[in-house]
Amino acid sequence: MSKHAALDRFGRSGNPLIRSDLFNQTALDNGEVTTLDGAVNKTAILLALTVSTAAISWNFQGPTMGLISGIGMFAAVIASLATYGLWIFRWLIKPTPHRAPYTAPIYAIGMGFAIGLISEQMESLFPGIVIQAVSLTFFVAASLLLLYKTGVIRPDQNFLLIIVCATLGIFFTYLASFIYAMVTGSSFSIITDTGLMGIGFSLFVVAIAALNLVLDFDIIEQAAENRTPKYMEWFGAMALVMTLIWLYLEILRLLAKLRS
Amino acid sequence: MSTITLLLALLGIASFAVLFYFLRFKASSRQTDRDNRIPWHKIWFQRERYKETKASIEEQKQPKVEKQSSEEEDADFKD
Repeated sequence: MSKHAALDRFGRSGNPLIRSDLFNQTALDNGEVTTLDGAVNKTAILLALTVSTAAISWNFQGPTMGLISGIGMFAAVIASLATYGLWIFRWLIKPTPHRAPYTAPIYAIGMGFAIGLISEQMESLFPGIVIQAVSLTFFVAASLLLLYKTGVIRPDQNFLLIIVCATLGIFFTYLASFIYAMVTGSSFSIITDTGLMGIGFSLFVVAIAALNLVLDFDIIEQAAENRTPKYMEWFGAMALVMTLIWLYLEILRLLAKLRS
Repeated sequence: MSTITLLLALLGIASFAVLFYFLRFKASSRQTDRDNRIPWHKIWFQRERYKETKASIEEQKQPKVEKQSSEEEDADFKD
């Protein structure tokens, strides 16, 4: 036993943060910690909020609801930026997970208004498409959860790198398309095209969105294992709901292309 | 409602139940007991851990510093 208790605990390193075993120690002995049950409950709450607001915007169509949906989507973007920052570019906006208990419901409510409006418009064009998209979203999520829990898919740093790069690629493609549409009035044909290229692109995006779910499951699992603070339940749940909403919208787009 | 939509709806309900049931269970040891896991603790949890570590070090330093200062005073007195 060393004279200095800090040395016994952290070893001889001057900087405790470079000791990797430090992170495996119990985070909070007295406070409440993240549990899998808690994360599941929070996910259910967030999905319930999303579905409730989606039902409102589905049933009350009109210019006011369009405005509310726009505000909701803007609020959702701000909420997600406030929680996750810009992750890779964290020097621009830092991630602040402790805000998740407040930002996650804002995100769920805001996105609910937006996806309710989008879903209603798609349903009027292609009857039955929303049920199919919702079902396929949960089917994909459940399948990947089983693959993750059983250890068939084992995400490592290479997996993370590939998924993050692909996700960023998709994000910048959509961003470029949005800017292009603002200037010229027409978006990239690869995104809207109903031919093989367009369907192939949508399939790729659905696959990447689905693989993002594996990362979300891993965040929740490790947050519970490492006994992180309670707010990480909201953080993990928000990540999962964000990916589920993205996956749903992409499946909706893919089904619409297939039906066209 | 077409047959395929009905079948997909049933599949969706079953998948929803599976998702929320199995999400509560811990992953298998094949998933958890490996060295190449993604270091989420470094990506997301670092800030919180850093605060706790800093607080813990300061807490442990506190009595030691007081003791040292009293010893130094004694030594000065002897000289």
